[in-house]
Amino acid sequence: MRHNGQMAIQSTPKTIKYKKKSKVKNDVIGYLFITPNLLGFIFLTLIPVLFSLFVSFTEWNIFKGFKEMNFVGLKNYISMFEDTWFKASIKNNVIYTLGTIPVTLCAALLTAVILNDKVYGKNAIRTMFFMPYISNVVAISAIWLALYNPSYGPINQFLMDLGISDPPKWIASSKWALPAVMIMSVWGGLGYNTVIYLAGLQGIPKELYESADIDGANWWHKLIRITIPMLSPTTFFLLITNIISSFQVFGQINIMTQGGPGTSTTVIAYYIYLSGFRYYKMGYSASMAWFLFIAIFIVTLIQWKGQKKWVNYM
Amino acid sequence: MKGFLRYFSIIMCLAILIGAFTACSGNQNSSEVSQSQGQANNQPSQNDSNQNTKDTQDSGDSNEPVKIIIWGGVPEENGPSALVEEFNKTHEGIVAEYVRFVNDETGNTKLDTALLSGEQIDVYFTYSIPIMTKRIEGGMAEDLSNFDADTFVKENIGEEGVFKYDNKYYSIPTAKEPYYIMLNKAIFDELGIDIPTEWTVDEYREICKKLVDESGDKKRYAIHGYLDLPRMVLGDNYWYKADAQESNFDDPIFAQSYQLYHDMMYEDGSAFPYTEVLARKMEAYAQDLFLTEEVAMMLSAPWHLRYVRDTESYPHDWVATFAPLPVLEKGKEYYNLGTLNNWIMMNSKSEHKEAAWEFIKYWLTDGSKFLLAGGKVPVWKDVDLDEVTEGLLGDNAEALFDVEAFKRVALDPNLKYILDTETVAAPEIDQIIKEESDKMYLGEQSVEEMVQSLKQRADKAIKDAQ
Repeated sequence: MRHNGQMAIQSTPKTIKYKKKSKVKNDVIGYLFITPNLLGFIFLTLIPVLFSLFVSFTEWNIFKGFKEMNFVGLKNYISMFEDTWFKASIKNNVIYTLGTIPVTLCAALLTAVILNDKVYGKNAIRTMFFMPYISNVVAISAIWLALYNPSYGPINQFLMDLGISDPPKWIASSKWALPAVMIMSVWGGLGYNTVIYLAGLQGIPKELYESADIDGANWWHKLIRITIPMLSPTTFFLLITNIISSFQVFGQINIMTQGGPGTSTTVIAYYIYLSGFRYYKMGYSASMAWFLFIAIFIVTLIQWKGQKKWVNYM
Repeated sequence: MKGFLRYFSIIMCLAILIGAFTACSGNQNSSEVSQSQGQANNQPSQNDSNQNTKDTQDSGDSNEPVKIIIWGGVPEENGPSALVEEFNKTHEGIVAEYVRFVNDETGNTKLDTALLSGEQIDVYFTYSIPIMTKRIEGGMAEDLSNFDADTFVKENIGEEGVFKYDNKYYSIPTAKEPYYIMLNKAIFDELGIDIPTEWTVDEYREICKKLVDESGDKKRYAIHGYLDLPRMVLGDNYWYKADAQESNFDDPIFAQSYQLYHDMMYEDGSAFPYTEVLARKMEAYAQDLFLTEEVAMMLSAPWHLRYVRDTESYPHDWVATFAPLPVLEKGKEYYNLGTLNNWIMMNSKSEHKEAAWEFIKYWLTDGSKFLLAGGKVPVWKDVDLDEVTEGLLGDNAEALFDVEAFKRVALDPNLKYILDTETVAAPEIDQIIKEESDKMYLGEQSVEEMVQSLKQRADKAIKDAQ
């Protein structure tokens, strides 16, 4: 016993030492493995991001090199609130976000619930819904441009056949251009959201529905009482990611309307691009990008706090 | 976790340090540029002679040819390859190489980055005055007066309409871009209307009314393209009042000009409707309307010619003819809407400036014929007009074009070209005009309201930029 005890005491430090060594070695190997990615992140993401924060406090025209970079403090951040372009783009973006996201989420939820039942040709339909998500936004926008043509486009031809004598002029009208882009975005986002909801539906235990059946609940009750509450984590995830991406909408605007007619579809990402690369105001452009980042961050934070009230984790 | 944080913070510190170093070196570079530019400005003769000796040394020491690199926006196959090939044949000791960049925002940024980072570019092209000014101010352009560009321009091009910065030539235009009206001759013949050789705006409007045809499936309109009368009347820097402290949109000619196009669209129904322009993105594809006979005339410039020549994409069996821009009063002198452009410039950091200058001269004179097929009208005085016409209109010229009318209208030596030198808030004003005219052409505001908000918003943009 004593002997064994001594052995044990003697051997303990050895093992600890050995373990320590291997831990350091493991750490080094681990860091080596992530180094390429980390370096890429630092040089291609982190430094440019920090640099843009620095630039946002300056007045800088990229053509004039670094010597022409003038530090102006908070001037960029203050002047953006007097800029009619900036104000219009915030307004348009808020309308875009509030208009597209609820519609997309409701439609995606319904589509997912229907597709989750036994539907003939389910896979084909699911693929069809998902197609816009993997298609190029430029190609999609070009096709929708043709659909939206005020006199020869299929949409207005259809509306005229229905007896509407003066259908909207879509992207050739300040009033309808933003709704036109929003409709296209809802269509484009539907597939992705549906697929995520479908995945969420697989996680709902069948027993819940079975006991509901025994209690005599109908389809509607099951949807409201079981499906929607059980899907709330999925809804929460989609809500956050959709809001973030809706504030970054750029591709369809750039292709379809270039912010026009007038300023009716100028959204914030498009205006950041304009002021940086058309007006050469890098500092101002960067400050708006940071404003956008802070705004999205706050909105996300509020949602994160608010989730306790409505998101059920099992 | 702690270990990770420690490593991470070390890496962060390193990253920031590296960032600081690169920023510093960037600073150094650009100050060097400005210094060398300053030298070039102060002591041109010395710099010049240094360069000469260096060049001769380059070629003398090893007997190897000097290699120069040219960046331009015209695709290689539209002339530059042939030009470079011929240049290399006729100029011993110099090997020129052409690199194409796409002349859009991304392409120009790429060129700027290459220039800033010291990549070998000896000669490059610039296609807009704001960008050109920025390159000159950024020290990326050699003052060509060092090579006696003044005499060269005077003898070979003429000084009118040629851009100068600080009264010096940092660039030389290689092409002129006259504007004119291109007409479908078959429609005019059918209606028995003579092809105008000079016309007033009122006559133009009357003719447009006659050209409308609503008998077919699709309505045929008379014209596509806004005739910018203020530019024709006021000429250079027409957006600004004399001292460029204020915009000029309260000049009645602006309202008059927009009202005319508005009325042709809504009262006469002769101008192609703006809703269609927006919905079909016709700003960029105006030639489609003309070549598919949706309009009988279009405001046009030589770069449209290649679409008319392209009978594969645009099959048509009628002749295109040409008329000068309509004017307010006959007998008075007006500006053409066109400019001298496609500016060729020399990199101030080039190590082979003599060779680069040889190349620039060649492009401007003998080499200009290679660019004709791409629709670039040479600025060279001594160019053979027949050769130019042939090059621009192609082999099948007689079947597609009224060649005589083209020579008379487009190659008229008396055209007065515009030269804008004022660039304060120019991109912003451009955008404001687009936004406000959008609303006016769509009937969402009157011409009067449009001109008022133009004036107000442009004034503010000018004030903010100063």
